[in-house]
Order: sequence, then C-alpha cells, then structure tokens
Amino acid sequence: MATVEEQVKEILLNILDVKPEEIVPTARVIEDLKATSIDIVEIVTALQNTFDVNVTDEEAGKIRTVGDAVDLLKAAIAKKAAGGT
Amino acid sequence: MRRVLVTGLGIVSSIGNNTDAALRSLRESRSGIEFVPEMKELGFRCHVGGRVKGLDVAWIGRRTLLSMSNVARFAAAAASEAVQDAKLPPDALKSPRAAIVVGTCLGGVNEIAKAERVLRETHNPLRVGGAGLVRGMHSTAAANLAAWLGVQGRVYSLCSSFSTGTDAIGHAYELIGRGTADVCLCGGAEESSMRQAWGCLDNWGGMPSSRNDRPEKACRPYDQDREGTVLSEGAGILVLEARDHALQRGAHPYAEIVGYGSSNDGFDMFNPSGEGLTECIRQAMAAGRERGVRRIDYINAHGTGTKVHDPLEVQVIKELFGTPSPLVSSTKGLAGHSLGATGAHEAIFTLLMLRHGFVAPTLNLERIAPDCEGVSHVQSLREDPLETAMSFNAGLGGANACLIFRKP
Repeated sequence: MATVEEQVKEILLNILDVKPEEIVPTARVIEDLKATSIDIVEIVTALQNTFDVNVTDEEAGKIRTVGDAVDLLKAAIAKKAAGGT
Repeated sequence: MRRVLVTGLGIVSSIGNNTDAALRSLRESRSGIEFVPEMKELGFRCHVGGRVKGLDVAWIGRRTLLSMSNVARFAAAAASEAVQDAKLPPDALKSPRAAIVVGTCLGGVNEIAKAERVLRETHNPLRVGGAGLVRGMHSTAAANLAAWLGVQGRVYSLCSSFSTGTDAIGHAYELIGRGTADVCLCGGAEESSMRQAWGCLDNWGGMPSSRNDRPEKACRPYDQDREGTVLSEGAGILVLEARDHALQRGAHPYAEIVGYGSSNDGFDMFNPSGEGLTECIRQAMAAGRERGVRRIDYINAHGTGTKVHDPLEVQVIKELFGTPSPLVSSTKGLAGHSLGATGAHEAIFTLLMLRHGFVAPTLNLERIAPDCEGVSHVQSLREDPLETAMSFNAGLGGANACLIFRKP
C-alpha cells in the first residue's frame, strides 16, 4: 500500500505541471511548484477525498511546503482514527 | 454568403475512435451496441447501450485533463484527429478568425452529479473542489478546446436536444459564410448520462427491452419489431473552412456544405408534429438549389427506431421527395443515439459514405413496418458514387435540423 508521502506526490503530479524529482518535502507549493490559487483548491480537495479526512480552511492555509501537506494529512488521519472528524 | 468546405473529420464513438475504424464498422455493419451490466443492476428495462471503448486520453496531458470530464475528453480526442486530418497549419487556429461551436445536451453531467453526491455525503463544501464547475458547465468541451488549441474567435456550445450536432455544424457554416470566421471546429459531444437521463427514455418505453441478450439486434429503425432507441456517447468534430481559405492552402475537402435548415415544431415538448422537420428540409433544399443542387442521392435520416418518430419522418420524406425517394438509411441501429453528438456523428458517417461511394444499410431492418413503407430503404451495403447527401435530426422540444453536403 502506498505511503502518505507517495500518495501526496501522486496527487501533486496529477494537478501541477512538475517533474517527480521536484516534489521533495522542502519544495514550496506556490513558489517552487508554481501552484495557482485554483491548483491549491484542487490539491486540498484531492487530499481530503483521497484520505477521506476533513481539513479546515485555517489548516489548509498553513500549508507552505510538500512536507507541511504530508504532516497535516498524517495528523488528520490520526485524529480520524482516534474518533475525531 | 461565402462557400464553406468540410476539410477534416474526427470521431470518438461506439463504433470506433477514429474515422478509419468508424468507416470499417459502417462498411461491415459492425454494431457498437453492447450489454451494460450496470443498467441491469439498476433495474432498467433496457440493458444495452453504445459505449466508447478503449479510448486513450493520457497523451492529452494530466494538467489539461484536470479541467475535462469525459464530454471534453471525447471532444479533444476527436478534435485532434480532425485538425490532423485537415492538415491545418498550427497558426490557423490561434486566431480571432478561428471559431469553435461544439454542442452537447448535458455537458459534464457526471461531474455535476458527483459534486452533489460529495456534498450530500460529506457535508463539507471543501470536498467539492474548484475545477468541478469547468468540468461540468455546458460549454466545457468548446471552452477546453479553445484553451488547449489557442482559439481566439467565437467559442461556445449550443443545445437543441438531439439536433444539437446538426445545428452546431449549421451555425459554424453560417459563421464562416457570413465572414465572422475563416475556420471552425464544430460538432457535438456527449458523455454517458445513463445514471441521470437514460432512465427517462426507459420510463417512456422508448428503449428496447426484449433483445437484451442480443444487443446488436436491439435498435431496429423502421422495422416491424422496433421497440425504441439505444443510447450511446462520444464526440464528432468537423473542420469547416471558407472555400478560398481551404483551397489556397491545398486542402482536400470531403464536401461542400450547400444547405442548412433548422426549424422548431412549436408544438410539444415530447411528441414531434412533422411540421418543423418539413420546414427545415425545405430551407436546406432552397439553399441547395441556389448552389445548383438538383437532386439528393442519399438521406441519413434521424431514424431512432421508436414507434412514433420513424413513420413520421418517412411520411415527411415521401411528401417532400415523392417516389422513388432518395436512398434512405439510419445509422442508429449500428452506433446508437448519442444525443448531443448524434448529429455530428451522422454528418461524419454521411461524409465518409460520400467520399468512399457507398451507403451503409439500416442495421436490423429485416421487415419494413407498414407505416414506414414508401421510401427507398437501404437494407444491405450498397456501393454508390454519391454526389449529394442529406443528414437530418430531430429532438425533444420540437427541434429539427438538416444539412446538405455535395462532393467537391
């Protein structure tokens, strides 16, 4: 089964015009991967739907790097497993 | 009114995802209708449909595909073939003199259904995302083609129910004829709306249900045992060009469009009256006569295989053309009824027959119904050096449209 990191990478590759080697934990989604505002909406949507978790606007607004997205997702998955939504 | 030529064709359909494949299916009467398990599981009476099979769209590119649901993907694949077929130079489309008119009945209907389902299940609007609107909107196919190909002139979709494709081609013909555009990608596209709309036709008794075990026999236009139409999906795109523009660059046209008519019955949302069909054919013939058309060799009729519509259009053909009528066939028995794409699909089938000199028969027309007699039905493949051909379609809400093509 793919790891969270691998699934996040696949989502970013589907949405952004980037090469796989550009998607590293420190890559900044807007400055380095050139995501537009619509891309950000699509990325957050895809992350939620792929992992079946809910992310608030505030949480999504804190994502700066690929690593931030992975950390946010892992926290959301853990929260869901513990009985949160 | 400038003269307008058809210089390129592209198709995605149940009988082939390019014109060579569609041509083979037409010549060999190879049906695209198959058993659709989901229709049976959902409790439809009809269990058959015409689906697009084995279409690869990955080459379009992940990012471009993000803004496309199937209706736009079908249109993109067909448009790509049409542009290559026409051998259009790269800068011909990147211009305000290039236009796109691609119609559809229901647009990205599956995308819209998905958005509603996601919201209902998650109670979280963030889960719906942002691209669903461009994937779902009615103009998604036309707009995606413009963004992808760089087209800067008139770009929009239209809908006249099952006359959509025919009217889109007719509108493009008028845009070029009146000098608004020099080249136009036009036609129709439709993704399967099996879960949203096919059931309506099934409920009216407009779809066959006694040949679910023999899908290729299900749709039988003009036949004594006809029970209704079989729905399908896909896209048909034509490249239309101003004659001077086309000949100047050495294009090899399929045909000239010499007549277009469009007329509503002004009568009823469900049942045709025949008046609109008569009027639109008269309009197209009047225009054709001005271009020197003296006879029609072949008519690709709407021919859905329903009880009501088949005899009505036979009556109209008899009244307008007398006996013997032009050769008549319907290709819906083979390819199904692709709603907003059907007018474009059938224009393409007609143009392939015109170019290659044959008439594809009405599949499954084994015993002509008494109320459909009196026209020159084609029941087996016929080699014929056609000069002029007509294609007409009729739709819900009284829509009717007709095109006449003449070999160049």
